[in-house]
Amino acid sequence: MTPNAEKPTGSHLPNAQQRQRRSRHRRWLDRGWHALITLAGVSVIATLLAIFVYLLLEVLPLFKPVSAQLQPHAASTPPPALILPSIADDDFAMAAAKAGFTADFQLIDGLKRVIILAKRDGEACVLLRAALSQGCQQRLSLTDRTVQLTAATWLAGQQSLITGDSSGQLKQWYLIADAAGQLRLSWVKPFSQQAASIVAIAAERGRRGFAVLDAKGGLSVFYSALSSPIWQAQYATLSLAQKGVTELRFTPNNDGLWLLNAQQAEGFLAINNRHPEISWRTLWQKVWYESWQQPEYVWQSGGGYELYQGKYSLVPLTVGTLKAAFYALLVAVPLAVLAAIFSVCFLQEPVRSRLSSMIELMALFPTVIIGFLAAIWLAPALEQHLLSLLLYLLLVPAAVWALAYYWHYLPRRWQRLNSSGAMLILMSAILLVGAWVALGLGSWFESLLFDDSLRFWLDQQGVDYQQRNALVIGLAMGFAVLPVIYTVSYDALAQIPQQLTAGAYALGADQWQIVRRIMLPVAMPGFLAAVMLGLSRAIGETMIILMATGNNPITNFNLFEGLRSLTATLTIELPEAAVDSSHYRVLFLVAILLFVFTFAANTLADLVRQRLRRNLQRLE
Amino acid sequence: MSANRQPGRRLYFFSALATALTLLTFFLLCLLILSRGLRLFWPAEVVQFQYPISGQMQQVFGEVVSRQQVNAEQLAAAGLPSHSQAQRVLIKQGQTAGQTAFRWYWQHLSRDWQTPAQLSLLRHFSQGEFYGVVMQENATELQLRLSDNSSRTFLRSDIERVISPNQLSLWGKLQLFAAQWWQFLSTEPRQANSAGGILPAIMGTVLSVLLMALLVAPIGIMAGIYLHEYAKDGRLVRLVRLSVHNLAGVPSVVFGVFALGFFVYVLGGSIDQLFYAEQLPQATFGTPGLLWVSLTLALLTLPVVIVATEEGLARIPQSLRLGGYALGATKAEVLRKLILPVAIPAMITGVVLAMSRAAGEVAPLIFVGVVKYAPVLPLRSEWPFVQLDQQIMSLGLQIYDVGLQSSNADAAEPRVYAIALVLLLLIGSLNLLAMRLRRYYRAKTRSQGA
Amino acid sequence: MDTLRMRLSHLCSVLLLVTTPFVCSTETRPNNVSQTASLTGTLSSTGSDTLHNMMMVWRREFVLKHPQLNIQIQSSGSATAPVALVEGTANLGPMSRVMLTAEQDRFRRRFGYEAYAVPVALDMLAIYVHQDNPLQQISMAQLEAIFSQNRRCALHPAITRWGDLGLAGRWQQRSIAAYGRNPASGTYAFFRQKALCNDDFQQKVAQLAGAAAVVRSVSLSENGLGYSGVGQQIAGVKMLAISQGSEQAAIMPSPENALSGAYPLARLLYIYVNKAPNQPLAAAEREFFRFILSAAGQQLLESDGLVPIPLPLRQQVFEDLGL
Repeated sequence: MTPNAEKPTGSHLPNAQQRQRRSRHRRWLDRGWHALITLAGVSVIATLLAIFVYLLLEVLPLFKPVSAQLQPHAASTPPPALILPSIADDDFAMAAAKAGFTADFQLIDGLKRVIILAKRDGEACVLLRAALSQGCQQRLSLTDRTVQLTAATWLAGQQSLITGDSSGQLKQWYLIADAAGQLRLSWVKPFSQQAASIVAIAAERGRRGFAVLDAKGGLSVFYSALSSPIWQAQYATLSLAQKGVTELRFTPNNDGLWLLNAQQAEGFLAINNRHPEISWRTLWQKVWYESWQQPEYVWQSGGGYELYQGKYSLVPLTVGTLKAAFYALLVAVPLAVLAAIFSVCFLQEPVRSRLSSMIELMALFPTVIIGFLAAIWLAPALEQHLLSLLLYLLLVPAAVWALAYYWHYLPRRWQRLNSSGAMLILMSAILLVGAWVALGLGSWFESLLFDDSLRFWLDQQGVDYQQRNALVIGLAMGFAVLPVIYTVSYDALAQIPQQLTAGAYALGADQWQIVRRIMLPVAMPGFLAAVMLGLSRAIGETMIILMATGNNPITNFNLFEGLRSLTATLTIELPEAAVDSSHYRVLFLVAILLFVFTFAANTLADLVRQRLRRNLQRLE
Repeated sequence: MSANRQPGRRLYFFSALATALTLLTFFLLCLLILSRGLRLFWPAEVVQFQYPISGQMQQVFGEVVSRQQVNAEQLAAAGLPSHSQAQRVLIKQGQTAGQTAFRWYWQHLSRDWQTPAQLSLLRHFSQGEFYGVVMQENATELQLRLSDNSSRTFLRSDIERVISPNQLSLWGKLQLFAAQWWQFLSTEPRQANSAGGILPAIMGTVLSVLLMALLVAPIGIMAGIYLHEYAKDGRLVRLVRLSVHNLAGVPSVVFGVFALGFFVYVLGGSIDQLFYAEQLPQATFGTPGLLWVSLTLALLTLPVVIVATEEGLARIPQSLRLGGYALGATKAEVLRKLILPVAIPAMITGVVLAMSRAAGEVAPLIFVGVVKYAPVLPLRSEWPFVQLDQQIMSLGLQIYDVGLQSSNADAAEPRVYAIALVLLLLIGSLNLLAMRLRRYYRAKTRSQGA
Repeated sequence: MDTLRMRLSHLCSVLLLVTTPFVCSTETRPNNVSQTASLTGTLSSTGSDTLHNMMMVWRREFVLKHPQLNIQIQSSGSATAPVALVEGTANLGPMSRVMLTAEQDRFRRRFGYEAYAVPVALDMLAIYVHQDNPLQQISMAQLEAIFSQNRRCALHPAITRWGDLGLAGRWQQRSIAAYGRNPASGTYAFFRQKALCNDDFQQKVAQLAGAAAVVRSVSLSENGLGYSGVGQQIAGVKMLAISQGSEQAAIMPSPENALSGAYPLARLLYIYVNKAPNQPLAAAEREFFRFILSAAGQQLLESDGLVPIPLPLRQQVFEDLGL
């Protein structure tokens, strides 16, 4: 066809030029659509990636190593020394008289109750200010006797003491009450040894960090929860001449360190140390916090007090999340898988799809309603009827077992009740009657056996029973994740080709053999995927846990104790966290953790399902 | 033979048991919410009895809320003279001098229970509820004799309603029931969300979900089309599919964290700096608000729309496409002229499903603009008719807030069931709509395929 | 009358020493709400859950006068207020404690001056137990021994069972289920400061997101004990009298005891605003404060179990805000 070809007379077709223009137009349109739609498809990846990258960017500054550099300081003057709580000199004088030596170091704790006096040779005496006349409550040596005590400083808050000696050793001391309620100064931990005698120690303001200078010009910055320094340098590398610096002093917001010689500024270090309290160790290992009896996993972000040391261990939260998910799956998986088997193997078409869409509807049940019912109704009811629940769990399966066993002894007429709908009604009746019987038996047994309720009997046996516990969460959240597991298991079972089961039937296998030998093995990856998806759903569930637990950060898997999950922590604490503070960034880390957990579970589930689908396609 | 069949029967019985348990729990839950939710507005009988308070018999007016059996041990533990069994009655007695609005009374100590016809319940706009006998009324004022025989005068304009439930016939009760429901649905909350209606919460939920549908529909549908029509089986497609599944699996609260950090602080902050610089430091979009709520919900429900679209497209017979290509149509033309018109119900199904998923969401929205109390509707008379930067209320957060945070918890708790009922009805009807659409669509595509 | 005034000014000075940056003065009585033109715009409030109900009550009354004004209220805890004020996401920051230096620092870095604290009410914390609990009173040291991890304050041995509090019979072996608030709340911080000497809470203490949730939980669990504001009107719980030391008399929370300073768990509640020095507040905020600090506004406090703030303090605020 040539472009110049004449249009046949009377034709309504466009001429060649128009045709060409139109086809070009169509081609462009086609390409445009293609590009737009591909863009939309790819935007899904972009979204997921953007979320991850943004969260990561917010978290990264937490793990940025500390840096410091020398800066000219002529223009500014060092801040005034930190004002510590002080008491009348008389008290110290009287304390010294009681201790029997003149103190080179005299210290008073934050509550102004305990006086600590120490000599250069390390000998120390702890006195109660309210009972000075009783003399030393405790005599101890702050050094190994062979070396000299050269520095002793309170960390912010005046709850723990850092001492340095002439061998370069640094020790941390807490005031801990012993069993008799007596405060004692106890050596908690050493920090890594410095190269030479300690010259000066300076505590950070409001945080539990400190800086140390030794006689050979080694400067280190520590954080009290970590034994090795988070930053270290020598005078030489800082190109600073040693000019007899005797004192270190932090700026009020801890972004600079003044090196002083009798109020004379010798140097100024700008320090970039935004988040000393966050490190791999404080997040994931036991930390011995001030005044505590032993190292522990603690999450207590607690604002409201200037000198509060935020405690950010992710272990209790992670354990809480996994604990909740574990108990929820324990409830949901058997129910969901059995229900899926029932729908696929024993139900005919109209009922089957009605049932499955009913359970799908359950998935849309708002979890905030479930959480409310769990908190207000389920938790107190369980506390009251714990024994009844146990009886119920024994009674109903036993009854069903017996029914199945003696079924063919029943009159023929009854046995014909094989339509599955009738079966469901029968089972519901058993469940309801079982509940009634269990409640009655429960209260009867309780008054008979335990004289109080089982819950308080447990208490006396030393089992801690909290009203809002993992059992409540297991039941409530089990209900919430059940639909997901059901749907995926149902899909896996329904995908099994008809010829497999039909062949087995033809060979005379019964339903149980078919399910056990054919359907379960074939659909096993599908169940695995279902459990994975259920797990991911349970990990991400927020409102149920937030409302039905006490959100107490306990690190154990005890069924009768509460828990605090990652998700609930985010919901409670994110609105209060100051933007860019350590707390804020740790919460973003929590979000990343959730993201990674669920990503792993989902991806695994996805791979397993794909493989299952491919295998089944091969079978057909 | 029978021993051989035993395990099979056991499986049958136990799987039936599991299914029955699941369904029964679901039904009982729905039933619980339905009954409690409906009961809230059914006018209850008002009682009157005598009770010894600090040695003197005093009169109590109120409604019986619940009863509790207390056994002898509990009684003894509470330091009360031990009867074999006792009953405790929770009475809603309204505002009285020096007592809480709800109080437990021992049944065995109370005397002289009556249900006098003239006993009324007065609901005041700002001071709560009063039980008493109407002494005098005129056009502007109403005088009520309270349980301690003091009388109190109220202005007509401050009174929401005066009810005498003991006089009402069944028809009257029904009317009152309907009227109270209507009031619940159409007014704004009062007294720390423990009285009044939930209109702002309903409107907040509906508006944010509708706006979300507008945002999520184009991208979700196009991504679904991409997956089914354009993508060839390759690494990229597998990656997109994986992303879709993962997006569906990421905990909703993580979306909330992302939305607060990125949308509100970063995006909103920059919008403010670009367009609303003159109002800074007062933030316009750099603060939680309706737009961010909808955007977060859109992210959250994107996978739902994608999956539903893809599923719908897969049902369209290949012959339809091939016929289009045979006539020389381009891919875009086949899509627009042939596929989309058929597939529209499937896409709407996806969007409706997404809406029902979004309506029940709470946790991520706490960060981005859903608040406990913001009674002004985010609407305005001129274009674009919605106030995008305004904070909203939602039914889900109302359940959380009224259920656990209200200082007048005894009064607030029954309301939670009513709110939950409204939310369930909303979600249920959306879902029913989606199911209908899906069934219609399946029937339609089946007939085309045949 | 005179004694009352003396007591008020005494309390005022005590409060000043402890918490507030204000100075007592005796000036004329603050004038009542002035009728100004109807206000428009939006006031948003983010902060304390303790003040939530009051904000709603005030809002309701205030909006009657200014129907064009839109007031939004979000209450998830005092710590949310400074964040919201610094980020500019709220005009009013109700707080149940004073701002920390760190929070003020952040505010100053952003705006160059400190956020202004308006005291609006006097609040009391009460200790709640289940109605069947025979316990009548508790001492501060016992409270610490129940809630605190390290018990640094009174060095009292740990208390885990009701028997340790002197209950006998069946209660002796029952454990104590302790309920408290989440760290965002000023109630949490205040209780920690007063009862725990700022020590850590025990990990098993339940942290509930809401003042009512605490009381609700106590009413639902027989062995529960929790701290929350006195404004919670829930059946099924009772308040305990609190004694400072073991030899002092236990005192029930009441407005008189709060004003006299005898009740150990009383505190001022504030609303923080972004007010540049020497510049007047925006009209909406100014009128709002004028209303809540007026006699009518303060009277509303009683419905929520709160106590009006002393008059001299109120006058000082009026002066500072230029009302």
